[in-house]
Amino acid sequence: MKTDPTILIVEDNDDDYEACYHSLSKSSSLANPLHRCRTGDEALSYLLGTDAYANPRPATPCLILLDLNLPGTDGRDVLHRLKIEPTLKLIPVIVMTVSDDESDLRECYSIGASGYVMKPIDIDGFFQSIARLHNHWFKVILQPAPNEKEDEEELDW
Amino acid sequence: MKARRLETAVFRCLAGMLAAIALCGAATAQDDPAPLRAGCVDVAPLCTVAQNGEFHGFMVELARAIERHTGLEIEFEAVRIEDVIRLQNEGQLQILPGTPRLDTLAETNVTSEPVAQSETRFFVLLGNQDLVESGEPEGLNIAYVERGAGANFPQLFENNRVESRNTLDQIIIDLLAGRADASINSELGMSRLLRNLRLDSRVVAAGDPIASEPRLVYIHESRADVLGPVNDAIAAMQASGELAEMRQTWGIDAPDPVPDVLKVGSVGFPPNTINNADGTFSGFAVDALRNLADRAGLEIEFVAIDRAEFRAGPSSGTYDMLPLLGIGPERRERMDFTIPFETFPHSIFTRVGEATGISDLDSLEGRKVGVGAFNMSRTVAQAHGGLDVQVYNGPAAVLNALHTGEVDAILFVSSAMRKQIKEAGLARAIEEVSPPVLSVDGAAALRFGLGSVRERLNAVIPGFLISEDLQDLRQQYFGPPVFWTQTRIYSGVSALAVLFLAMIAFMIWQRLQRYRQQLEIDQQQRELEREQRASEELAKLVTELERSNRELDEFAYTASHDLKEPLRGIAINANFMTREIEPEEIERRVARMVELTQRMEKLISDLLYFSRLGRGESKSTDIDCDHLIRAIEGELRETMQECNASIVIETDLPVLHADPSKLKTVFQNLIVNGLKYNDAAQKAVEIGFQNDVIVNGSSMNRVFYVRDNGIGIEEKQRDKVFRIFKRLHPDSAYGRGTGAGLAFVQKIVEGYGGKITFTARPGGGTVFYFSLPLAQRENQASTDRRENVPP
Repeated sequence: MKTDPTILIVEDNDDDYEACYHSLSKSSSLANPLHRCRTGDEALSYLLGTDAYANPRPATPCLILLDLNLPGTDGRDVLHRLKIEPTLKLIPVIVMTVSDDESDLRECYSIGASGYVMKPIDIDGFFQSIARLHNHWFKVILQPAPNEKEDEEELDW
Repeated sequence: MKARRLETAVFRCLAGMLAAIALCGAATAQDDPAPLRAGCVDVAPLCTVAQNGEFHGFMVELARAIERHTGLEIEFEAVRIEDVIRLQNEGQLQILPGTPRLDTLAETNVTSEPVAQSETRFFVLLGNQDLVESGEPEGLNIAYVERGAGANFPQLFENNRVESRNTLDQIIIDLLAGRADASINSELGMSRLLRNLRLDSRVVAAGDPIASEPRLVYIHESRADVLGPVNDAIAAMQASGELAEMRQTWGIDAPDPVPDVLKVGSVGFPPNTINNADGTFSGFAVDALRNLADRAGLEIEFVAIDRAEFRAGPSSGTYDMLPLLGIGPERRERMDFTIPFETFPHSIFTRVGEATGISDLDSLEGRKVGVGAFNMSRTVAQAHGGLDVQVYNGPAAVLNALHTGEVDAILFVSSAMRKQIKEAGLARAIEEVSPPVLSVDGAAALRFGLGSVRERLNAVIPGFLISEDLQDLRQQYFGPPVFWTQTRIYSGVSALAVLFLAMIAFMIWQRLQRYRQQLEIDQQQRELEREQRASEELAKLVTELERSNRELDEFAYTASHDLKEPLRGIAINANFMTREIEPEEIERRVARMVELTQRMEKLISDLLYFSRLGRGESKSTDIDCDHLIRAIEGELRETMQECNASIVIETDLPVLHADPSKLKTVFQNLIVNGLKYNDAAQKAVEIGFQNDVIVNGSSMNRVFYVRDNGIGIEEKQRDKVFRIFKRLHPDSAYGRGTGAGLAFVQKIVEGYGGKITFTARPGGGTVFYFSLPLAQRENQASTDRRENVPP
């Protein structure tokens, strides 16, 4: 096994990040390092290796947890940008939504999200969501290592 | 009047019976009575000899009546007046009916009961009747005819100046000239003369008769046997009124006064008098007299009379007038005439083809000629001599005689006979010889005593003669059948006028109709346009509503998401807090929760404010912009000093008309944003007003600008700038905020019907351009300012 790839969390809200961070780190089997970006622009810099992240360029994350509601460049813009970048478009993006109502979910998938987690008021529910997410992506689905499969554009995961 | 008529009829009936008895008596007494010979002295109205040798007059008619009543035969012969007494005394004449008492006959004659009275009366000018009313006048100049009746009243000589005149004419002249106040005359002679002179309306009899002498029937003693029957006849005639009527007719008695309504007899002699079946009267003469009476102001009524009554002539017992009658000398003795207003042509008629050689009465000599009994033709034909004159009653009988061959020709009133021929359908069998052989003047006939009526009619006849009325009547009753009669011309013209009017009316109607149709079309078009406009407006409204709904959806979405954020944060912190044991950690989380609560409150109040901006409940006033901006600057002074900022007003600013608090929100947010998102060492916000500016390719008029030297806005963020609660930077970058400021600004500006836009580039600052409602006076002022202010 190689080094566990980073999970990128794009979240401006400290409370939400804390909750997210806790739920991921509490999952014992999840050893992946977490990186937080506060804005959409920062996330894109991180992913594209520009500005502050140009040198050294960080490794491509294996999963992005993306908040849609960001100041300035928001989650939608970020996702849109990712999907036109060949090296980034295969990264699963889990959108963190405020509600699970239909319009929100439709929006997530229409912009190319791989899944969603709802930002819950009940933090235990949030933990469970993250845990399910973790199991799904890291245990159930055998996922090719992103680094190795960088150029396999045809991969259907 | 009716009662009197009935009475008369009854008496006549009785008289007839008595006469019949008398006739029987006479027949038995004398089997072959020789005719009684009577002398005619040719004194009107007693007895005159006509052209044709016939005898007329009161005496004649009285004799005829006696004949009818007694069965006697009386033959008249003309005698000279100086011979009559002698012949009567000698017995060559045996009867002298209706003469005054004549002493010279007393020895050889017997006399009957009186048949009339010969009265002596005063005559005066009309209006002077009261002079002699008493019968014993005093102080008057009285005239009388020498050897006349007046000489017999010596008592008048004592109190008056009584003088004789030679003739009646002289007396009348003196009365008219005022040389005599009154005259004493015999009623009969004087009245007749006055009438003939047409002065009977000026000189009238007045007062009671001064003397009255009976008129008697003298019978020669050789025939004294007839006295009884004659007296019986007289008694019968007196009783029946026949005698009185006779006296009236011949003017022996003083006439009855003028009635209010004159009775006009119509015998039915077309085309002059036509007695219609419905009781109305028409005909030329009828209409002519109506016209005349109307002109003269006389009231007349027509009554149907029979031929006997017609022949008897007018008298107060039957009728007063005939509308039109040929004037003949004999008729003048029995009735009065107006001046003539019509002529009666009399023509000869023959059977078709037999008129050859017939041109006048001479050419008819030796032939049988038919005439009407009571017709001027008869007199003329009989007077002509040499003709075999056959007399028939009425035009029908006359025509029939010609048609059946009883006579070779007839002489008759042309118009009446033409009408008769036409009615009998004999137009092809009978022809008229033209020109007419005789023309008789016709006038209205009146009974005696209607001198005033006659004069009134005479006064209007000349006017009538030259009037169109007469022409119309002639045309109507005598004219050839002309199609375009006056009436028809009038009707035709009227019809044309009506047609013309109708056409005009129709045209107007059509115009109106067309106008109405046009109106309707216009109306429909307008309605269509209105509907179209309505549907366009509806569509616009629907679009607007859809947009509004969409916006509301988006707003609700954003708002709910944004509102949930602090709520979620509180929940998260509370949750973590339950697991914390470190007091510092607990404290930090509580503080965070308080902070989140405050943020949430801020969000909610911003949201409330934002929603309120949409309602137009604010009060607008005129606002001085400089003042407003200086006030904002004052509030921000501390902050500005800290970060070395300045606010510059670059141009004159117009006075605005709006809600002050909203305006403050607009400027405050723009100014604060300009200073807040600013990394410059010398932060500056510049404010101004421009009349014309092109922003992002489109022209804007009269706009404010707020320019800063801040961080600018990325082009990709352009459409997020005005979204509520949308922030472009995290709190960590340029401080906290809800992200509602520009949303407020946009909503206010657009709420006033304005526009807001901006130009910016990252790091190069931002310029917001926006329009706001100017105060009324600024609209003019801004035009002036345009020239003073550099662009």
